[in-house]
Amino acid sequence: MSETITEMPPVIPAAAGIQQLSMQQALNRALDEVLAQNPKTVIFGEDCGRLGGVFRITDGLQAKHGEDRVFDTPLAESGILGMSVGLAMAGFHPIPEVQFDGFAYPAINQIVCQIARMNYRSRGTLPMPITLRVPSFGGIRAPEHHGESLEALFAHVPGLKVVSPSNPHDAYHLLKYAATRPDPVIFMEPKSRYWQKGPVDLTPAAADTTAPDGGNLTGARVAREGRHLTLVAWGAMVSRCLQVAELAAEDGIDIEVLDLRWLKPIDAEALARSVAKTRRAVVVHEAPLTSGLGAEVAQLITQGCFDTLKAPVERVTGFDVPYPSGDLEDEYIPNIDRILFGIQRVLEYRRG
Amino acid sequence: MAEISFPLPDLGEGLIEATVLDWLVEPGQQVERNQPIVELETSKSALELPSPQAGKVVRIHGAPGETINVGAPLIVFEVPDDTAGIVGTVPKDEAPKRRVRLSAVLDED
Repeated sequence: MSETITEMPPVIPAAAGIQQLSMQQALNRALDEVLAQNPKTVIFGEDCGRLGGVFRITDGLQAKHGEDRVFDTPLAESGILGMSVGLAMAGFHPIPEVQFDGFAYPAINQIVCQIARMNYRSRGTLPMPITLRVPSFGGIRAPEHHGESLEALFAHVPGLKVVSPSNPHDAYHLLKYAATRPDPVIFMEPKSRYWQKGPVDLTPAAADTTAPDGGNLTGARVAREGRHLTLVAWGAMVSRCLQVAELAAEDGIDIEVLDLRWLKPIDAEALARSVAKTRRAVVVHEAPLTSGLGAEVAQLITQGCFDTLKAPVERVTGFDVPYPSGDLEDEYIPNIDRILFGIQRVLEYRRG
Repeated sequence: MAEISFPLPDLGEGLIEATVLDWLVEPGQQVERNQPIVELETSKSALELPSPQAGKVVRIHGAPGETINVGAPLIVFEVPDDTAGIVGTVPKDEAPKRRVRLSAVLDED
């Protein structure tokens, strides 16, 4: 393993205002601040320590906070998550990383059978304040196991919360929020959005969940307002849906984009609020269609807006195949045209 | 920009050190992956070591005649921050292309 040395990011003064940061930098800064604020937090995973993470998310944190708090683990995800359980029992707040989403599979037993239900099993005496960072989804043409879309799997497990930011600002605030929760949160970072820069308001969030800068950190977020149709997405698909909305505007279709952000619990009220206005909805995700989270979203919309829906909720998703690697990704991940086709099917639908 | 240090690898047969014969690159130089960067001599053979990656050379360790232990720093590269991790490529932000156009009669009832 090669060694990487990088300059430390500068320490941010309070009320630093708005800065242009990549999601990598935003997440790095959030972790830096969480480590500084809570002496019980520890960060670990494969290459998280000395190297600073293959995606540079933990860059410089070991040098700054010490080898006891930011450290490397063996290549054993069951061990990483098993150790997290023990640390949480002992009063720590572990922030483990599985290097790529496909590497979460060897730790499913620890995640599902221990982390998710220890609080329940112990009648609340052993809460699991664990923030599991999972670089997620496709879009970087990586080999097998390096691009997956596991949100439905995690969201199905009682006891887990699941969140996925779509931009640097949300990444910064949602990670700081997740890392201060008393319960396990699966934090799904969209790999393909790690490098793009965006404005981040670094003003420290208030103690409650509503920060004047970070906005509401618990529900969905309207990424673009529109009148005719709601595109529901999360993670890397949000930026693609925003592109689609721009293109649809050329054709006179005014599209609202709802960034779901929290995939468990899902903000059903925000879904109903948006679709009550637009009366049409398309949900977009990278995961396979069958039993994907799009089905859950479609049902929540249908339940909240059955009387006013102009068409069944359409799903534009990956296919029911293993997540393809490399060049085949472009054929699998919903592209602009497939999303536009989905929109057209909804626009054309007529009752009776 | 990030710096990546490349330590002297085991050049075969469990040898623990190598002697620098001649550097083929110098600090400040941009090198490509697989470009020969240094001539080394072990107790078994002399060989040219190819660069493990592309990047700008920041530092080299060991003058000709000096011995370097396996695992000790050999050369340090400078690479852009957006160089992807061990696997995958950084996606390019491109203008969206479309083939499908939308058509709708939106009755606002």
